[in-house]
Amino acid sequence: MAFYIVSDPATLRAVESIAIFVFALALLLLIVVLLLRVRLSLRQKRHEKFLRIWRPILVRVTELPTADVPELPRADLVDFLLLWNHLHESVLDESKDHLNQVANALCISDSALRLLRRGDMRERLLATITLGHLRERAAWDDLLRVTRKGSPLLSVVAARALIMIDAAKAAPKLIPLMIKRPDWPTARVASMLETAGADIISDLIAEAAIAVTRAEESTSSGADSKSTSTARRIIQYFPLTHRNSAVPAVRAIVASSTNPEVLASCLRLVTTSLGLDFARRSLVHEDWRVRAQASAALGRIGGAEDEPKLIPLLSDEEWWVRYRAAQALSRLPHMNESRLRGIQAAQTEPFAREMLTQVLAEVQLQ
Amino acid sequence: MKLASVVLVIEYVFLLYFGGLYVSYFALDLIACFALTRYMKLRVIHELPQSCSGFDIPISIIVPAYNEEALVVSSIRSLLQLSYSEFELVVVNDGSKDQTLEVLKTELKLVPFPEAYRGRIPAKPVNQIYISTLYPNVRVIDKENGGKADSGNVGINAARYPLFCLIDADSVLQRDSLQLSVQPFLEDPHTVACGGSIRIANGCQVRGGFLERAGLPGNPLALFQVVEYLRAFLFGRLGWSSLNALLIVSGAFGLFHKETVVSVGGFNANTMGEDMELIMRLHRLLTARRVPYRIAFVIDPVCWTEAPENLKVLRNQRVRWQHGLGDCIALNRGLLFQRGSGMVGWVAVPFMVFFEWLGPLIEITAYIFSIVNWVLGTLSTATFLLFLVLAIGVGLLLSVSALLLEELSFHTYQRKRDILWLFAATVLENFGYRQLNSYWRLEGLVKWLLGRKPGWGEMTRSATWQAETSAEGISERGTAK
Repeated sequence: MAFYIVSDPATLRAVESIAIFVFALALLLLIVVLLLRVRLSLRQKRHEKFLRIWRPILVRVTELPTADVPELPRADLVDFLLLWNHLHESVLDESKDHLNQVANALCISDSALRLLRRGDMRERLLATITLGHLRERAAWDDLLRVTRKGSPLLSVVAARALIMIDAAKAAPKLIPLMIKRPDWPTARVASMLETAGADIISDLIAEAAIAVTRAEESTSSGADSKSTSTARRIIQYFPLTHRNSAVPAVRAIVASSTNPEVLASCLRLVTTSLGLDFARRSLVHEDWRVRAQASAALGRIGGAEDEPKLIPLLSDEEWWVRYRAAQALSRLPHMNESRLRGIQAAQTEPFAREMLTQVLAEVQLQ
Repeated sequence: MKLASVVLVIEYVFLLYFGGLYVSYFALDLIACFALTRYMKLRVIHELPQSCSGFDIPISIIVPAYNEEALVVSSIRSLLQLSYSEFELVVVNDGSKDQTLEVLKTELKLVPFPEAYRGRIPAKPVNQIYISTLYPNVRVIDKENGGKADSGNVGINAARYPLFCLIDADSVLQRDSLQLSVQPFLEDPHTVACGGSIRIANGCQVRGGFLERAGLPGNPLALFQVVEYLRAFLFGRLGWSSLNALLIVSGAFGLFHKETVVSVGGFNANTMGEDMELIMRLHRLLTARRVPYRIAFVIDPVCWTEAPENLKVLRNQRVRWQHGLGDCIALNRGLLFQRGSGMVGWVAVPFMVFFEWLGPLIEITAYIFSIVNWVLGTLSTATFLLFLVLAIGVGLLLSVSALLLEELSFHTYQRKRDILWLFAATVLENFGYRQLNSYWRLEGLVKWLLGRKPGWGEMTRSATWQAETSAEGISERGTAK
């Protein structure tokens, strides 16, 4: 008996060649790793040198404006953009202007525009943020193109840059785009809207939310999960808008929507007595998310007359409804510990008593 | 002639097996390389300060603790210093036999809290729930012993926030671990779970519960595990996650969408591979429900864990892992070639079955087959050595490629000599360590086939790298000052 495959001379020669190749490749990779380490070490040294020169300059500039700065070597451009943007995101408006003066003296706009057009993803991201901070109008068309065609992260960063350049002009273009881009991270969209300011976005957000809600109601059942998320997604930005735009919009949405997720999102926004009727009506909604949010809303704005409306919810089948109802009762203006204990004693349902015990303990801890 | 035909078939099986295995590994390696390069370029955005928009998703951190009296308080204090806007800690004392609960009561100033506990996922009974009067975002749940999975389920039942993060009590996190691992949930609402890259803490300097300086362990077993973890996370998990076919989120650190996990029944307390079993079940059930979902992986090292430094503990761990793998595959066999399961059911699970689960059986058989034939003289010494050298070379190449990925990304081990030590480990692990591992895994496989459960054994923690965290520096809210 012999090893048939592995004893074949041709196979053995092939295996030998593969083994040599594999070892050579492993050795080559090791050399690459070592070279990368050497390069890293050199880069770190260069970076440290860059920081020794530029950090004091830029930090000083945030306090005292100056355009008298040394020349920036091309190799330090990305390091400079990182440091400059880092400071820009951390300082107040006046200092931002000082930083922009330095960037203008170094013609950073041109470099950033070049990176936006031809750089890799890291450079494009940095360039986009820089152009926004510089409010560089020459980059408008490039940035607008990126918002439409770029990856989720790059496009939303470009959207914020456009807002920084001209919020009034950008917002009407970007808010409809935002509706079509569920892949834009919420926190980044919120940051973009915050940058634009409530004066500019309030009406646009309100109109968009109403339009999307109505469109969803007319084209699909309220339970369609995909379209649901669009209306809810927009409503969550209402806290960033002016109340006088948000309140009528919420009213219009509530009047036209049957979608539980949308109604629950609207209830989260209820903070004044204007929403009392809506919250009270919603206590008996068939969806537990609406009942829970309605209870929470009454905890914020309810009065003594809401006590009998909340008590039945202590026996709700859903834990969160029982919890929010118990919390709401504890927060009603006329409520005190002995009254809450009285309500607890009157409960026949063990779940209701248990929940009130928890909330009483929470009240005591507070 | 008949025997010769059998030998020929066996040779073909071995060649096909090892060929398939290494081609798969190199394919994963390439995919990981592209994914890593892309990720590192996008990462610049996290290097800039971000305004706190109030749109972060609150997280419940669940910390199961069993006989952790020595480390649990310092772990909690370091967790309280994580930089994240809103989180709570749910510590689950899993019927510890030591002073874990007493230490917690004293150090965190716990008082009994009459919580209306809801048992949405069945688990062992809860004895008492406590709340910290020092840190209101810390609750401790004392329950009957039921294992880590059972503790995880109790933690999920008690968690108040939409995401939960399950970690080991001795895990060392980075300050920004939560911020990094929540990103996939912010970027894609279909994300249901996210794993993080785990590294070995042995040899590192840890102060205040956080990593101060990464270093390599002096213990050779721990050093080999450093290389193993680099391979497993940098090209294994990264490669699979790029294909949305990740089959495991490590139990040492994982972030999950709570309602989705509850909807599939939580952790399975009857398996030793509860972390992998949950992920496979998520794949299977969400595919069956035709729900779009994503199981993500964060490449950044977010968690550091202590590796076993002696053979007995390491053997227990590997036998347990292999046994757990058998459970996961058996319990989720429906996922194999499941309709609509894409890369998971058609590539990742078959890979797991043939190369990871049955792998040790084929590897050990191949070793024995070659040695016997060499002894019998049917295999020449030159041929025997040639195949041995090839096997070592391929293993070496895979390990060095993991070093390359590490160097392209995080350069965790800063000193130049670390690279040389790691390279030495990639060579030396081929002489005994890999074979031992295969043997232990075979043991796990055999035990699984015989229906015998391996014991948990005892993980002796030296934690020499861990310096105590004091209560100073933590504000009353429970977050860093």
